[in-house]
Amino acid sequence: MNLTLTNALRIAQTSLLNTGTRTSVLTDNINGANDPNFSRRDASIAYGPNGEQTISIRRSENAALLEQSLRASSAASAQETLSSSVTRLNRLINGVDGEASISTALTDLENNMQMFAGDPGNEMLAATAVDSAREVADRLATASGAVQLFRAEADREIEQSVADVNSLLEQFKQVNDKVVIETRTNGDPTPWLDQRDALLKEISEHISVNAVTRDSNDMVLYTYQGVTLFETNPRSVTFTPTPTYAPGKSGSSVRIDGVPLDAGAGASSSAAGNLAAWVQLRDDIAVDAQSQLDEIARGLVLAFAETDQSGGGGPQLTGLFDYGGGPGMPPAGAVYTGMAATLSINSAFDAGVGGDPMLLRDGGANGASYVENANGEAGFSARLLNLVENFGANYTTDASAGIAGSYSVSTYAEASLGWLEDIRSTAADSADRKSVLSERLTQELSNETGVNLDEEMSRLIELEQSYQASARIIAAVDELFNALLNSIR
Amino acid sequence: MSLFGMMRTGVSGMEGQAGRLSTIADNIANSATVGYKRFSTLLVTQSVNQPGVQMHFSGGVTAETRQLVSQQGVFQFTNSASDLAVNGSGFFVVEGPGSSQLLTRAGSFVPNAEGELVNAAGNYLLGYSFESGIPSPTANGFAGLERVRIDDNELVAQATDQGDFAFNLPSTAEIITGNTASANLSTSEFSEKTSVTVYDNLGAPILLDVYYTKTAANTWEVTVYNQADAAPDTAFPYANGPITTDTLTFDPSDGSIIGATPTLSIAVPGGATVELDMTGSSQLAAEFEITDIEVNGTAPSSIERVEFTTDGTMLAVYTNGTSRELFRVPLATVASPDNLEALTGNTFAVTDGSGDVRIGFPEDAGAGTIISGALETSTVDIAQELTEMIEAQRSYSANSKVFQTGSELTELVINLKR
Repeated sequence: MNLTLTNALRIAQTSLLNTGTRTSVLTDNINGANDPNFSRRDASIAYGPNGEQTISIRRSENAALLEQSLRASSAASAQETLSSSVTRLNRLINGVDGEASISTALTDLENNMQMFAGDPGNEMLAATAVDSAREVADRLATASGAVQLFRAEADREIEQSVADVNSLLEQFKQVNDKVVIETRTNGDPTPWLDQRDALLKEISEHISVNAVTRDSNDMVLYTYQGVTLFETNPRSVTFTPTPTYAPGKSGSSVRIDGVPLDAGAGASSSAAGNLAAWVQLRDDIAVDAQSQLDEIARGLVLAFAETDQSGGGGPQLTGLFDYGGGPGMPPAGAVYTGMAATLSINSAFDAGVGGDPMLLRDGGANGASYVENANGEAGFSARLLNLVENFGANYTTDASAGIAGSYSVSTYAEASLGWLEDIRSTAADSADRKSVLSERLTQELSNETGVNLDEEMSRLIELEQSYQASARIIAAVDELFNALLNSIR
Repeated sequence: MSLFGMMRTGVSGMEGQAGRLSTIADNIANSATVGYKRFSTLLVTQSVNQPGVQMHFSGGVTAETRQLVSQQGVFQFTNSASDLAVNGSGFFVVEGPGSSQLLTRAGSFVPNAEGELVNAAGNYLLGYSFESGIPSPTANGFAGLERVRIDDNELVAQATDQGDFAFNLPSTAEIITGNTASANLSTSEFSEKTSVTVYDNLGAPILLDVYYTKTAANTWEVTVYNQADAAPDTAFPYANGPITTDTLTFDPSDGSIIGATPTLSIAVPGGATVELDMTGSSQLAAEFEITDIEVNGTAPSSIERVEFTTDGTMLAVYTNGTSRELFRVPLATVASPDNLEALTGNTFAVTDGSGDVRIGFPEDAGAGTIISGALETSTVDIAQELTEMIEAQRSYSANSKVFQTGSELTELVINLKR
C-alpha cells in the first residue's frame, strides 16, 4: 500500500469509525449489565493488508452451561409447582394444620359410639353419635369435592401453560428466523440470540427442552422424550380442557406433535417443566387422594353394615352410612370410585327427617329382619359393642390407592394423612434443593456470559485513549498540510 | 547553440511544466473521487544534437501523461452492501452510454427503479446470471454479460429434495407386537415419533410425521405420514396411507445402521421426492434423539437484502433466512492497465496498448477479490500533489527566466547595429 499522508488520514478516519462501533458495543454491554438474559459482546478488529479494519462482534456463550441451567430450571419449576400445589391439596382436604381432618372426626365418632355403648338407653347420646357420624360423612364429601375442584384447577393450569408454550414457540420462530437471517448475511445476530436464550428459559419452565443447533445458528428443540417442539416451524401442543371433574373422570392428555406428554412421577418428581407436574398432580396425586377418601368411605360403610338377623340369608346392607350405590354393599377389597362424594347418613337414623337415632342400638334400618334388639330392651348394648369393635377392626384395602397394608378405618385415615404429608415434605425439600441448584447454575452462567462493569469501564478508558490517538493523528496531518499550503504563495 | 534555440527550449520547458500543472489540477480536483487513479506527467527530452558535432544545441522537453491505473486505492468502508471495491488488479465491467462495455473501479452501485445496479456515473454493473445454471466466464470477451438486477426475483420457493437425517433409536425399547405404525389403524402403536418440515413445489410447508416402530431386535420400521392427514388427537388412522415405509436394521455389535448409504425416499405430496440421508444413525442404549436434521427447500419469501461475497457472487437473502445466488460479478483484467484509455465517469476503455481484456471471476489468479460495503478511494495524495505543484511552479518560473534571458540577449544583439 501507499504510505502517504492522505492514506494516514483515511486510516485514522476508519479507526475513529471503528472506535465508535466498539464504543456502541460497550454501551450495549453497560446497558445490559442488569439484564439477566444479556450476554456480553466483544468487538474484535481484524486488519487487512490495505489498512482496512473490519469489526466482528462476538457474543460470549457457554452452550453446555446454558443446557445445564435449562435442565435445572425445568426441574426446579416442576418441583416448585408440585410442592406448592400439594401443600394446597393438603389444606383443602385436611384444613389448616389438619383441623378439619377426617381423622379427628373419626376419633370423635369412635368416642361417641363408646359413650353410647356405655349408656345404650340414652337417646341424647344416640343423637350425638349420629351427629358425629354426619360430621364424618360431610367432611369426606367436602374433601372429595375439593379434590375434584383441585383437579379442575390443575386442568385450567395445564390449559394456560399449553397456551403459553404455543405462544412462546410462535415467538421462538420469529426470533430464530431473525438469528438465521442475520447469521447467513454476516449481520449481527447477537440481540436476537439473547432473546432466543431468554425464550428458551421461559419455555423450559413449562416443558423440558433439548436444544440442538444446526447450520446458520438454526435451533431445533426437542423434549426429553425426543418429541419435536420446534424445527423450522413450531409444532403444535394440543390439549382439550375438561372444565369439571368428577371422581373417576380422567382428563385429556397434553399432546406435543401428536405424542402424549409423560406425567412426572414421585414426590421428588421426575417432571421437567410445570406442564408435566400439573399432569402428575391431576392424574396421579389427586386421583390417589380421591381413592383414599373412597377407601375411608368404604371402610365406614363396611363397619356399620347391618346383617340379616332373621336367618333368611338376606344380604349385608348399609347401616348408619349410606352411599350412592346403597343399600347393597360395595365389592370387597377394591376402591369404589366416587364413594366419598356420595357418603351420607342413612335417613332412617336422621331425626331431622323423621328417622330414629336409636336404630344405631337396635339395628333394622333395612327392615324388620335386620333388627337385633327384637325385644326393644333399653340396655341392649351388644350391637353397639359390635360396631365399636368393627370400627377398630382391619379391613382389606386396595393398594392401588397408594397405601398398602392392613388398616382399620381410623388408622387408614391417619395413613392417608401421613401419605399426603410425606409427599408434601419430600416435595418441599426437593423443591428447595432443585431451586438452589437452578439458581447457582444461573449465577454461574451469568458470571460466564454476563457483564462485568469494572471490565467494561477499563475498556472504555482504552477506547477513549484510542479515539484520542486517532484524533491526534488527524490533527497532526492537518498541521503538515497547513505547512505545505502556507509555502504556496 | 543559438539564442533562438534557447528561447524555444525555455518555451517547451514552460509547456512541459504547464502539462504537469494541469495533471496536478486534475488530481487535486479528483482527490475524493471514488475509483480515481492519479495521473502523472513525465517529461521526455527532445535532443537536436548531432553525433560528431562538438557544439550543443538546446533541445526541449515534451510532456508525457500517464495514468497510474494499477495503483491500489485505500478502502473506505460504508454501510451499503452494494458498495463494492476491488482488492487487486481487476476491473468491474460496466455498461456505459451507447451500450458500450467499459471497465471501472468506481463501485458505488445503487439499484435504480428497475433494480439494476448503477454507479454514480450512471453506468450499469454487468454480471453473469445464475438463471441458467452456474455461470462460467467468456475468457476474452463481454459475451453473456447482462445488467445485474435485484428485483426480478421477488418471490421464490424451492421444493425440498434432499436432506440429512440422523437419529439414535433406543435399543432398550420394547418390541411392538401389535399393529405397527405402517398399518394405519386406530390401534397402531409406535415406539418413537418425530416430524420434519419440508416444502412442496409451491413452497408450502408440509409437516411429515415420522414414526419408528421396533418390530424385532435391531430391526425398526420407519413410516412417514403427512401430518395434515392425521386424525384429531390420536393421529391414527391417517386419512391417507403412509407416504413411505421402510425397514432399518442395526448392527448389534456396535449399534450402527446397516447399509452403505442408508436413504429414506419420501415422495412429498405436491412436491419433489426427498432423499433423506440417514448416515450416522444408530441404535444405542440411550434416549431417542435426533442428532442431525437438515433439509433444503424454502417457503415463498421476498428478498430481505442482497449480499456480495468476496468471489463476486450476489446472494439474495430471503426473509425465511435462506439465500440464493442471483448473479456473479466478473472482474476484467488487461495486460497493461496503465495504458487504458480514461473516459468520463471513472471508466476505462481497452486500447491497443493495454492489451486485450480477459474476463475472470474474483479470487481467480490475478483478478483480486471483491469487498462488499467498501469503496476504493482516489489514489491521489494531496501532499504529493502540492509538493509537485510548488516544484512545477518554480520550474515554470525558471523556464520563463531562460526565455527572458534569451530575449534580453537577442535584444542586445539587435542593438549592436544602430
